[in-house]
Amino acid sequence: MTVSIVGVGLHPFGRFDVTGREMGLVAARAALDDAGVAWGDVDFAAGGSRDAGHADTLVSELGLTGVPFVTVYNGCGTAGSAILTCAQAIEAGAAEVALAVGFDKHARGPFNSTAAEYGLPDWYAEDGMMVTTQFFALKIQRYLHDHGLDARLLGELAAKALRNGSIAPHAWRRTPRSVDEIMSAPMVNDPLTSYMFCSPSEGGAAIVLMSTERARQVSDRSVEVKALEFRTRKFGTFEVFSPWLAPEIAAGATYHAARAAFEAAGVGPDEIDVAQIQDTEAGAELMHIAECGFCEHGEQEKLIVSGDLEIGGRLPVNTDGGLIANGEPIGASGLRQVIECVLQLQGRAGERQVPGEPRTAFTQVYGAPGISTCSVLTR
Amino acid sequence: MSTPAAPVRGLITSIDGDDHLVGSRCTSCDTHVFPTQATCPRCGAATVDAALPATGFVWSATVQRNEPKPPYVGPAEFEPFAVAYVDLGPVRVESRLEGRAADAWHIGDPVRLAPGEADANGDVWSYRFVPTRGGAS
Repeated sequence: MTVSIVGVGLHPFGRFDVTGREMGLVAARAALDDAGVAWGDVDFAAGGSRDAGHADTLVSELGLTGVPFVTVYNGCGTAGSAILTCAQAIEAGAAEVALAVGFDKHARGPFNSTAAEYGLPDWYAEDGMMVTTQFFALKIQRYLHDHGLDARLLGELAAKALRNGSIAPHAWRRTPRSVDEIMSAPMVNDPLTSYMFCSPSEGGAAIVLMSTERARQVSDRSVEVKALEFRTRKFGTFEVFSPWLAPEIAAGATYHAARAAFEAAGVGPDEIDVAQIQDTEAGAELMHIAECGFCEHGEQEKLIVSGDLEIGGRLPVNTDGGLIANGEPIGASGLRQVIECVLQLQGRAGERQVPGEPRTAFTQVYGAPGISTCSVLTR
Repeated sequence: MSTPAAPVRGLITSIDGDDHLVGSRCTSCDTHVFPTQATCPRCGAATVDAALPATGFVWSATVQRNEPKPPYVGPAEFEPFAVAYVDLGPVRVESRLEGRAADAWHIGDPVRLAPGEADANGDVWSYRFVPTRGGAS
């Protein structure tokens, strides 16, 4: 791609007494300020929210400039699609300055979906099988079995998330917890305890994108989007809300999106200095690390136990605590991942700054029913 | 498996006294799915009804420890229950497990289909898998 990020803006994640739209506005204005551009300079926008309103209505407050503003929705991957929509508009020559924005404000507790929304019969939900946390548990339970991995690794990853979140000012869960504390917390769906899950939350996030050529003219710290790849699932993947699975489990959308992103960027997984990976729960991070290509399936233990995934390690993952510490406002979550990578590449990540001037970053957002968007970013 | 000879009652058909879940089999690539759907998710060809094997093995299992939100329908007092994917051979089917403690199930446990109660029309819209004879602990 020939697209770069010139500004980022975040409304903290957590629980707040303001509307989701207001959080989106805070983030959008912060991103414009950070980029040094005015709303009137923006000639394309895209954004999304699941529960907090239509993103394109933000023009009421930002200014009725007539800008084309595409509202997107792709479940937990919504923010990835907002970025992709903007980046492709720039690539196509249809936009010069684009704003991608996401925000959300969810009710407490797990997301509640209707069977009909997923093309499923009512009995599936009425009998208690249409539960997202159940899916995560069934998937990681089998994965641990297939690869001979210990459930304690899930506790290690959750502890890392909360440790990193404790030094990220925008994070929601800022209390570090020991692996023992996490392992002995109330079980939600075996083997996943309550501290291993992210919760739906609230927040806003936005970025300003330009062509790389223009970005270099206006900014000395822009971050290049080397690749951005979106995939949906192929036959045989193991996804949420599946009354049946194929006898052979196929590689998921993340596998294909990540490989496409690395290929398009001309960068290998071993060249990534910092990564933000979808950790809807600790098992998702465990599996996604391998799906993205950072190790073989079943080889995660080495990375975790050696400290490679820590902020000072070889491949720091989820440096701001990921979804486990930030929660998941669906419209904003994938943008938060990109923003965290931008801040790390620019050396602006404060106490959680990855040492050694990281140059190359990776993001992966994943959602129901089997979608994934991966990016490679460089400075 | 072939097209069920007996009538389909909700999710279930009976063949020679044995109950089976009814899924779909692709007429082109033989992919099996559950519940029924008119076209194959793999190749798009038409499907026919197929009685799925009545016995299989637990492929993965967990415990639902908190009461699901509506539209879940359950007893007044919630009891944690086991949920699994049961490997039936041509397809793995998601099912609640019964017949032993919710947290006492393991990958590989042999199970058989146990249809739920019939409604006023005689149709069955729920099912469980339970330990096979001799498989109970």
